[in-house]
Amino acid sequence: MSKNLGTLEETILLLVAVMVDAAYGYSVSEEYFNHFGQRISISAVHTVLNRLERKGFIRSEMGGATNIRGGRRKRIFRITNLGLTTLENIQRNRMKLWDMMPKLNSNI
Amino acid sequence: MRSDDLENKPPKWADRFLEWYCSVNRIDEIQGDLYEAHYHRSNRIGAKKANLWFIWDVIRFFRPSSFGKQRHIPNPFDMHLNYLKISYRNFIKNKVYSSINLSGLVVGIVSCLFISLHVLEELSYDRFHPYPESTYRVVMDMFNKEELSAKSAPVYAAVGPNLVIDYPEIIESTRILPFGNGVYSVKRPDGSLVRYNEERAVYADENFFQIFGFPLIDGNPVKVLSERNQVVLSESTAKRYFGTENPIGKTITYRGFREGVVTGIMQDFPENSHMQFDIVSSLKSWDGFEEWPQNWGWYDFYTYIRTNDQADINALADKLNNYLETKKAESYENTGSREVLWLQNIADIHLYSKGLSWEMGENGGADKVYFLVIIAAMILIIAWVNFINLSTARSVKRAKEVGLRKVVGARKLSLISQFLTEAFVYNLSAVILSLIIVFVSVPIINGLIEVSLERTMLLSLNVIIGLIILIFLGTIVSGLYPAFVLTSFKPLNVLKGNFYNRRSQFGFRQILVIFQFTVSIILVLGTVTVVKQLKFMQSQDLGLDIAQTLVIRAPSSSRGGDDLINRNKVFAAKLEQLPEARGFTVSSVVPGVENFSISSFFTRFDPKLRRDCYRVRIDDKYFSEFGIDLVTGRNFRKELQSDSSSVILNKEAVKLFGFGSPDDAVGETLNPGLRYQWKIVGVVENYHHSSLKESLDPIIFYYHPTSGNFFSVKLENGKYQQIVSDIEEIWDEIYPDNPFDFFFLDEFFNRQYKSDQQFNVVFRGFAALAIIVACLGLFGLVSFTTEQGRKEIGIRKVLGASVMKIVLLFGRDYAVLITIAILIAFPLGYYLMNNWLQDFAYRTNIDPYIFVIGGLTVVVIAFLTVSFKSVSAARSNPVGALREE
Repeated sequence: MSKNLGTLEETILLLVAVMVDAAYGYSVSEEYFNHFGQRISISAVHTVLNRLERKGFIRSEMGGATNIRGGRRKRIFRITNLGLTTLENIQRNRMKLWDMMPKLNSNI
Repeated sequence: MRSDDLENKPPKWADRFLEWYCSVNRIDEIQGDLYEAHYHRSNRIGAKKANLWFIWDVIRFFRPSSFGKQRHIPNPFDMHLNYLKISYRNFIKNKVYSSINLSGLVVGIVSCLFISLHVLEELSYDRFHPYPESTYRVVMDMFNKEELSAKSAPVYAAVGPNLVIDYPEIIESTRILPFGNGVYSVKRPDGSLVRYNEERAVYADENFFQIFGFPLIDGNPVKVLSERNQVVLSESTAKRYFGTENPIGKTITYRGFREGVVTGIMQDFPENSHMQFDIVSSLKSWDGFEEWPQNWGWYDFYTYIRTNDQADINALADKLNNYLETKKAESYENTGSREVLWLQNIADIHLYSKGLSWEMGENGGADKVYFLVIIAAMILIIAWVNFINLSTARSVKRAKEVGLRKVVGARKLSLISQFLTEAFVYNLSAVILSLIIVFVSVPIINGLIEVSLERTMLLSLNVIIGLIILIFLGTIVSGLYPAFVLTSFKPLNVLKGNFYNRRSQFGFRQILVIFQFTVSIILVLGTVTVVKQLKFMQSQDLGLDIAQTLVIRAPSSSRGGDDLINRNKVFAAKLEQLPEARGFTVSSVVPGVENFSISSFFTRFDPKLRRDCYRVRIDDKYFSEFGIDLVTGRNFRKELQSDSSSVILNKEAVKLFGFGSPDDAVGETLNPGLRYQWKIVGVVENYHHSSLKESLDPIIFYYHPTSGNFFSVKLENGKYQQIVSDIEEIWDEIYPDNPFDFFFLDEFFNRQYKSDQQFNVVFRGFAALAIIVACLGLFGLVSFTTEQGRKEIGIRKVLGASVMKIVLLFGRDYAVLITIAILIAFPLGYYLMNNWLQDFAYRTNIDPYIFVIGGLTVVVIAFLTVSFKSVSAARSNPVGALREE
């Protein structure tokens, strides 16, 4: 399986990394909306999260239940070291590219 | 919890759909997320829109990654090992209940095994013949004026040979004439005379050994009976006469003058044959044999036929119905009688010959067999009921286990299979234990009630298949209900511990207890009735005195001519000098001996109407020695020459011939105008010639003082041993060629009740077993409920209840059940006992006291069982019960 990250995958991986101990299907989709203003369906989030877990970028464990959830437990996701280094690599490469960006007219 | 607690519920059907398709591994995150989203959405955009979104999400989740109902399925082998382990631990933990359960089952299965052995033996009768399917016995119903007068096992001499000629489907027939009894003797090389009285000697047609499956050890089956005066001996009989010598070709003498040649040795007849013969002689030895195919008057011949494979038995039976009508039309016309032939398959003779007269041996036990089967089944069912009862009662204890198993994810099916496994283990071990017990105790039982059960039969295919079926049936019957009860508990209630209630509603368990006690009471009632009937029959006035009577089989071996008559006179004279002998009489039969002697008679009122009547030849002392009262007329007189053509009737015969009163009969003549006509000189009281199962027989007594088959000697009280040896001395002096063969008449007569006595013993045994098993169950049940109620007892005692009150409280529940059982058992028992008694011509009445005994026995035993446990519970210190909490 490719260890490459798609754009949505990268975004969600970032969200999981940010939301320490609070990342699960619904909260991630809400957070996504809060940051990007775009709705993303829960089922899509689940798909991505599962894919990330299979690729080894995140791991999960069952967390607590709440009344709102009808007594169902959350699957809490956490970023793995692999996930973190991959994110950092991407970020570093991007920064390199940004640094190489010629200084254009700031008016543009 | 679940969505019920939420304010706005998502659409139920969508929710269910989700739960249906979603795997258990993923339901938490998916459903939880959707609920959570739904909750926030309904706050934000309203319930309706949130619902739509919910449905949409459910549909979007409907994809393979959510499916896969792969639960964690436990390794079935491991699981069953665990079930076995738990069963074992439970057994060890509750030794009392477990052993009650197990011993009940063992008792039930042991009874079943014993009875199956008996039944298998009964069913195996006469299956060893070469053509069991196509061999039949011809028997006949005899009607007098359209009224059934007798069902006769033997038929006319002519029937066999003529059937073979008239019906092509009948291949062959063979006849057996049961008149070979008497003294047989052999002169040994050393000059000594070996002599025995043979009781099981017959004459048979030459194809006897071809139709029947009695193998010959020596001799050609086609030839051993083909000539006059040929004799075939059974192996053990041959040993008696010839020892180790080869008997073939040797001479054996019958009744001192008729010589036969031993042509064959047959194996001793197997136990499971309705025929039991030691000596078979050729039928041709009889004078007049050649004329028998025309003899339609003499019906002492047991006749067997063999049909070919194409024969339609029903059609043949129809044809036989009218057969005698065509052959004896004239005689029927004259006498107003009628006879109908019918067929019995040879394998049916032993079980289904009820009501046939002049039968060989004791046949017709089908009813008893059915009866025993029912009893065994009842005991087994009672044992199963115990298992059901105790298991469900114990469910209180097991409920926690069940609750826990459910919580950790056991499904209903696996729980049911657990309890079925447990029932299976019980049933299997019960069967194995029972097999061992039966195997060990068969010889003991055989000795105890004089039966011959064969324990090798235990290993026959039928029994093994039966046992396997029994194990599975038992597992289902005894395991299924407890399994359902136990698995139906709600784990939460169970674990909280608040579901037990001593006085539960009138449920299945109560009905089972009622059933057990109904059966027990009926069995006790039956036992009491059987015992009463037996006592009744043996104490009933027979109409004659058979006490202190020594009966000697009269000598039959003669030196020819008047030899025996002369010697008998000497013997009688010598006996009279013996101080211990009070009296002496000679007769053709004695009470308890089957009378084959029957003739037909008519009176002057209706010469065409012939009636069959038993004949007994006696001397002038018969009536006085046996204490039979003369009603009217006179006894035979020695000095009257004319008494050789006089007869005396019993009252039953007076009725048979239609005389108005005994006085009217005296002076009349029987068979007037014939060459032999008989003048009636007296009438005597009726007496029971055979057991009280039969009604009174009409008898005509002839005067024949010089010869008879039995010498009856009335003895003074005292040392019978001495008397017998004295008489034997005289006997040996006068009849050196005849064996001294005697019996005491009262013992002999009561031997007719042997099978009833056996039945009685068996019945009592099984009744006791049934009650024991039922009480075991009751004991288990009571000890359990009292144990469960320990706290209640403790509290009651603390509050001041007396021991008595507490015992009564616990006993009351059972008292109700037993009362109901009594109400059911009494009428049912009455009906059954009445039915059984119908078999007896003379029967005891069913007294109320039988019911008192039956009811009391069971009530007392049940009361003891209940109080045994509840008293000790009630007397215990309440502190013990109350402090553990």
